[in-house]
Amino acid sequence: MNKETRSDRIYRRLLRLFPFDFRREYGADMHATFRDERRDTNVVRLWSSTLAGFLRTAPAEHLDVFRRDVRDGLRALGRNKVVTLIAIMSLAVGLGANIGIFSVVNAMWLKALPLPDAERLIRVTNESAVGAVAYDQYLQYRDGNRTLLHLAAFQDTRVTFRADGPPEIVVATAVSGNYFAALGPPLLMGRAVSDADDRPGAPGVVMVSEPFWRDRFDSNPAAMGRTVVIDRHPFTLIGVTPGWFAGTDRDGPREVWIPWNALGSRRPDNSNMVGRLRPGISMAQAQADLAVIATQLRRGPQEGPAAIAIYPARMVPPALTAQVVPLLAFFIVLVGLSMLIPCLNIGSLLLARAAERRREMGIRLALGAGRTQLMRQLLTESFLIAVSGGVAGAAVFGVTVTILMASFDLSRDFSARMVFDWHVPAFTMAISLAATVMFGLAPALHGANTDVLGALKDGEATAPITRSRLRAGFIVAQVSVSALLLVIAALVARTLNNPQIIDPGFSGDGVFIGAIDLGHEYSREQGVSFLDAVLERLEAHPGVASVSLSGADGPLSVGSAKRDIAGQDSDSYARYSISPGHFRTLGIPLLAGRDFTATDRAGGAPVGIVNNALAHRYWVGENPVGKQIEGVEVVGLVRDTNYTALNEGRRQVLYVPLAQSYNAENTLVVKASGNPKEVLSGVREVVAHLDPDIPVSNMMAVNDLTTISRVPLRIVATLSGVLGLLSLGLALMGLYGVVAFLVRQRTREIGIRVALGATPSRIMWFVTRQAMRWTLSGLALGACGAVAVSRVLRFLLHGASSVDPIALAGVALALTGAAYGACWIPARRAIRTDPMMALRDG
Amino acid sequence: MSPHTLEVEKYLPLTPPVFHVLVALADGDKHGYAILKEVADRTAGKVHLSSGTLYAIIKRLLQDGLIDEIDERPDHDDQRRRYYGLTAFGRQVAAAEAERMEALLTAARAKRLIRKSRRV
Repeated sequence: MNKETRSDRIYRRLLRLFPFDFRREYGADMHATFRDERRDTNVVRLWSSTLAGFLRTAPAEHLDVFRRDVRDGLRALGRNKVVTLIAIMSLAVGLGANIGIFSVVNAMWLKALPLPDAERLIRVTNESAVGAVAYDQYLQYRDGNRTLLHLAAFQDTRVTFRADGPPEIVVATAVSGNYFAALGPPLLMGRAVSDADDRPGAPGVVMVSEPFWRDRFDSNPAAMGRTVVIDRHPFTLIGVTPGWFAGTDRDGPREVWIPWNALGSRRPDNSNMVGRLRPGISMAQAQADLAVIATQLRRGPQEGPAAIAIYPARMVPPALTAQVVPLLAFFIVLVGLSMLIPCLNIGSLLLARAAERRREMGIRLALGAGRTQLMRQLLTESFLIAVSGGVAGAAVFGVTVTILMASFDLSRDFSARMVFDWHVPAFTMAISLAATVMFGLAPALHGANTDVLGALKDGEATAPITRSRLRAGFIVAQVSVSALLLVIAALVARTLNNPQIIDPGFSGDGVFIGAIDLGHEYSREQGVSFLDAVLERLEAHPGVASVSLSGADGPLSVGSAKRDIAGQDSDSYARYSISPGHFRTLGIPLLAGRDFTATDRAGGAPVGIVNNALAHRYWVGENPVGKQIEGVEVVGLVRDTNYTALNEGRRQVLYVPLAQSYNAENTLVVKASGNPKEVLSGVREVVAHLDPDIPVSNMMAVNDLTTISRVPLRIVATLSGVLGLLSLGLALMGLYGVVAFLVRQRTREIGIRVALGATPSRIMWFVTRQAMRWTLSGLALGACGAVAVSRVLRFLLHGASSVDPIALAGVALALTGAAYGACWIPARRAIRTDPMMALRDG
Repeated sequence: MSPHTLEVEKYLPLTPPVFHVLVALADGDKHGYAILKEVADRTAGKVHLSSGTLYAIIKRLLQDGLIDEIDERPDHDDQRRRYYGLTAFGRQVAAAEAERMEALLTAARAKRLIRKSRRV
């Protein structure tokens, strides 16, 4: 007999390139042929043709196997369309949610900046929360460092911009002269801001983004070189940046770029820093270099930052990350749940299939099919579900975003953030595959472990269906997760529809707001009298029912100042500046005392109005009118309000007269009695008449603002509702299957029981008790989970109780009822069992 | 056309290696190496099937019922070797392919692409 040579060993190894089945069938024969060949063929020719043949045929054989598995898998999935559809749908919904959240994370953290050699761009910050340093200190870092090619400064600032139309407030980015040299973005037109433009006294120049250029200048190239007015000074338009360019920030596009020093005295005090590393310099070297300057600054006359920190420019500042983490954690829980359910569903689907096919598996194993082959086939089914679920998930995401963008005018912000790049589909497919394969594996192992004799003996029925712990586990898990999600959905839906909880405390009907910014040109006195004139004229306007102003730190505006009460404790309350008439305009009832009046002026005694929450904190059970808070005399009491967000909750608020805390940036609040459109243009006319350079911007209906703030809640409610119902559907099918099987299996036993006089209700209990026990365990688990999750939800739903007994009881009742129904249908057969027939046939 | 002809037509045209294998089996059952050798000898070494290619073809031909595995074999032969033979259907398919090629050749000759073959 032939001795095994090295060639034989190599050949046998190479045979592993072929699929297992092929190898088992033909491997020995191939080897025998190879041995014969070796005798009469020269070595080089033998191996080159053998290798070429293997490389050509082995992949084709694998593909062939895969094609067959897919065909079988499709056939198997098609046999049980409803279950398959539910599994795919739940995967689609879960993935849709995942893609959405991942897109945001991707846009914020993962995506590379689309700038040349972006890996060398770094952000330089002090280690405090803000990260910006004084401009003078920036200059020292810029001139003193040896490791950076460029170190540029930038800061967002609000300016009044005027081209042909009315003036408007825009967010401009003030940049140092080397900013564009450091970042190196491509320009659509013109040139970038240079060091020469940034010298004090240089003629003012401005760059705008492509969308801004399109809106304001009709994309007209001739606009290059023309003069626009920014904060009442002439600026020459010199260049256009692409629409996507937002510097190193990711919170939406930027529109206008101005040299730092062109803003003169109005230039920002603090600057953010972005640098470009010199070639061959590492982050650590740059860090050490800049730390030396930081130390020198600390010794100098100015108080320098404690330390300096650098991080890659594509990352979100570490300080901000800390703020985002809690919110992210909530979404991760939601995402986890939204993926867990499809996984459970697919797992149970495949498990049921494995049980169904136990006999088929037994036969195939008996005929010598490999267990790996069986597993591969079951995993192919997971794969098919994963792919269809992935595609459907992307569609769900696309549709959701489209609907969201259509409902609100968010498209510009959204499109800027939700940029689809290859990360998103790759991520989706990866989790879809990982999830389904992982959860398909348990049933696959289960199927492959089929005991051949048992499977053949039991016939087509599926013996282990009731005994299987895995099956019980899936049903309990499905019931509990669907209970959990349905409770959340009910809780959120009830909150959204419960006027007591979401009552904003004011009436936004017919009320519009707009930003009005006096800029730096008005002194305090001039500003106060200008605003008085605006209010006076608007009061007289025919379509206006009521009008008031609130400061930039006031309600219905971005940002609110919080102050500590000296000597009391570290808890803070909000301090809102408002004009007289604020409460009237928004329909907020005055509970005690008086509203502000024209006599509450600067120089007069400081007065304030508190809301219930603040009053309750310091003067429980007492009338706050006449009390003092931080040197302010309380003259009135109003009820609590949720101005913009549901989670604003019962914030403690001290209202102070706008006249006593003047601010150049204000929010105009107008209640219209006539046609809103006319009122809006009336507002613009009135202000323009008083000063054509003062813009009224961002005018919108207050009710739109509150609606938008509820979008996240609606998403949470819809997502958990849909997933909960899908999961419930599958759990019910599982319960139905279990009871139906039990009834079939135990017909004889049931017959005996009936013959012995068991009542229908006892029979019913006998066949449904196991299923109902699983249901109740699932419910109990789900309820515990719901209590835990609704505590987290309180971040979003201030005022909602952490356990909503009605939502909980409602879901428990509905679920138990549905589960009982699913058991009852097959159990009817048991009750109708004729004992004679059962005993004879059984 | 009878359903049977349709069945045969479905396999045409055959790829050259498949046809070579069928032709090799036309005059009797053979084991894998014998097929390889016959094809190589007949084509003066121009067509050299490797074991991988051969068994991929054999697998397909077995599945489609064009060849069969033959249990009888010479006593002194290596028992690990398996013998393959043409089925009646396989013979029909091979013949149909040969006829198809002949028709093609006739057409080529009529157009004087090649000369008439000389009978040996």
